Amino acid sequence: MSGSIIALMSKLELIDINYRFPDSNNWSLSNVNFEIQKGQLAIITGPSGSGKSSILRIIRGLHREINGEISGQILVDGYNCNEIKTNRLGSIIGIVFQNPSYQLHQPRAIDEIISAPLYQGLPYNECLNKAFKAANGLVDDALLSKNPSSLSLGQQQRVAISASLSLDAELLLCDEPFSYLDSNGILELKKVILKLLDEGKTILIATHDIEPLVKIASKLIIINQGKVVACDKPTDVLLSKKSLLYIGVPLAIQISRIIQETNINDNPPICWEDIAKLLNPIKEDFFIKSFINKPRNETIISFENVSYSYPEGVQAISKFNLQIQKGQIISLLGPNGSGKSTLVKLILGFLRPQEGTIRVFGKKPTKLRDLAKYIGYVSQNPADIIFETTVYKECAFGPKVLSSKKNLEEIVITELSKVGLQNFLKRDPRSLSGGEQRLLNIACVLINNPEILILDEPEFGLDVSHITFIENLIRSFAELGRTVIIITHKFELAAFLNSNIILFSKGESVFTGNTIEFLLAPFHNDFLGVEDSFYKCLKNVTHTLGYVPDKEKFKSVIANQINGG
Amino acid sequence: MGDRFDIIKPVSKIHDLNLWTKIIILLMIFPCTVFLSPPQFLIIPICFLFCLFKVSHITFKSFWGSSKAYIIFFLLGSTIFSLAFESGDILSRFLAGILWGARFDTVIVSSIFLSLVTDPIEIPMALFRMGIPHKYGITLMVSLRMIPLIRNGIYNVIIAQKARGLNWSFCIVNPYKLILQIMSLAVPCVFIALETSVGLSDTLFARGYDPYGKITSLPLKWKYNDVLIIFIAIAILLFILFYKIQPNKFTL
Repeated sequence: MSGSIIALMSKLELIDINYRFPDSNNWSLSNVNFEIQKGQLAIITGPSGSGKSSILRIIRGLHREINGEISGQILVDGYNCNEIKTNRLGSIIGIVFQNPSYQLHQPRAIDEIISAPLYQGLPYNECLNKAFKAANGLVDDALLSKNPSSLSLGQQQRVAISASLSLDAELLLCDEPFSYLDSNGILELKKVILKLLDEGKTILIATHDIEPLVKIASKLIIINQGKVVACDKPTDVLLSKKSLLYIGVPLAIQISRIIQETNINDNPPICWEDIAKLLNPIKEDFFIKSFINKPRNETIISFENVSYSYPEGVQAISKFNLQIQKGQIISLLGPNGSGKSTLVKLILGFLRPQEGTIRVFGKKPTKLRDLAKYIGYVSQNPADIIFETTVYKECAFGPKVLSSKKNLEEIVITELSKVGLQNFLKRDPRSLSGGEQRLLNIACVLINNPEILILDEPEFGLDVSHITFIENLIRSFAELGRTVIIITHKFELAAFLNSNIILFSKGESVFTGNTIEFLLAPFHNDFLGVEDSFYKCLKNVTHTLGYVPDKEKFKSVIANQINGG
Repeated sequence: MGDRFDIIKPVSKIHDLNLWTKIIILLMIFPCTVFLSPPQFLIIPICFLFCLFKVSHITFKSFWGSSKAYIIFFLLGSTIFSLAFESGDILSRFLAGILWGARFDTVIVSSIFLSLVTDPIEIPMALFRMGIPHKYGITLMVSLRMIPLIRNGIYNVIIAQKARGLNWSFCIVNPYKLILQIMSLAVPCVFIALETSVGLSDTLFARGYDPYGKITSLPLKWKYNDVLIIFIAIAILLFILFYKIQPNKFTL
């Protein structure tokens, strides 16, 4: 690979790309065509399993490692990438994968950043120059000597991006870069992307979550079942009714469409930031008309002065007090590593508090297995529980080990019907999409008929339609008088569930209250990050109405206000 | 542009030593000194190690946490062994046991100390410099990185499966339930291990690593401190050796 190719690098072009995995009869990608100009940001979105990641991998040449079959051309400034060796492509194309933890294979951040130039056999001083150039502005000097395990996920993602750019790559590919990040991490990454665009880098991002970048993207590509179904300016794609059929319509776009129906605008809003700017300012003396989500006043979980530190000395929870009532929906918000997951592990009895007392149904949690009948826990990664060969067997595992097999088939089918998987009984659970696997996880837990449902980041890696489905499931579960605890980074989810919010920061709960009280809290900026604009919109509507609206009411109030109604 | 150590401040002067210096002192010269040293001079290598320990800024708590099991085991083991099999009165057998325990412990302590002051990346690079193909060093490094990732993954699987009913007490009399529950843990754990290894190997490919290609070796620099510390260690060893050969020339 000569240096001249790097210097000339200006755009990416995919021409008639067809791709299939080894030993597969079906094409995973079929007739994919698009191009991106130098210095532009393009977003690829689509349902789980639609081929987003495959597109990135074949551009970077990683399909060659598994002998995938490809036809068509991938041109980078006219040069065909298929003719360049995979290990040499790093000087043209950098790639960042979904899980930041897996992207760091070296013991320190600096070693990771310098690794790509070292693997090219470049002179040591040149490797250093390239590494420092790539790290400049992205990774703080103080972090360079740290072990990846001691970095936050946002910091790990920054190191991974620096490492990908250390060979002076002009094109950066990112696969679901926001999945593991909290709101501030997303905001931080957005700043990094803006900085790279300023430097003239070309960026292609595959993501379910288009909201953070839609405003700065030049192109939005929607892919379904391996085919490009839309590829145009984000505004044009988002406002066209056909193109979002496959992924669900984000709430901000639904509002924008309502606005456009009555008042056609040349620059319609396409994200919360746009909408927040169009709303009337509200007075700060916010008036609360009523409180909703009243508890039934029957405490089922209580924390009294609970503290917990991990063996390595990290204080995860400090002097924590809380009473969770029957029928409440509790949302645990806060940055990564703030203590949310520790709190859930304490409830589940997986960790024991060093100080204070926890009571679940009036008793100290002893063993998780004894609580399984009363508490259902849905982990963040659906693959954590999947082990059976069919969806039916997977769902039947709980009743098989916990209770009698009476009417088992009927119970399993009923539970699977609730999550819309009744037609997949004989399917291999691992062949389901990410969203379907998450729904199967929920069915596997609900089949034990728990009193409390705990969900760890239920929105993780899901498109809008699946998130909406899960939101409705949570609501209907809570309507039965049962309790739901959600760990989430998505304030939007917590707000529309009208949940009681507990905000964590550095092991302490800095806020406990309902959604209205949360909207009044002065410290939201510290953790809301990219969701700040949504927060402003919700605060505005809640101020107008005096209560937290449901989605339909929220949409109509905002559209009405913007259209001057 | 300086060396990367200009930017990454080493934890201490001991951490900053060349890997070969650490290996020569702690794994070669030091054990020889300890085992050759007569009881009255054993304090000299121990003091030397203590000085290195103080300069390294390693806390006693972290050091004791990783070494206490070995120290206690060897001290007790050699004392019991000596009491049982040595000749002489009980006090002399006991003291001989303690002495041998102290020697073993000092060598173990120096090995653990080496691991605490050595950066993991130095090991694959040292292997590379020894002429061993870099793919083995890289494999070692990736394996070291995989361990905590897989451990976390397995931890999450256990929580998730227990929360949906995994319960060993149910299956004592039911082999079917036992197998079902073993599978419920084993299958996801295998998938997590595979997912982790695929993730890390993807990263290697993304960084452009070619197992058969040429990679840049980190420069090995000998500094003043390396020479000084090797000189001191050799001086102690020579002193002990000299005493062993001509003990009459020393009067304490």
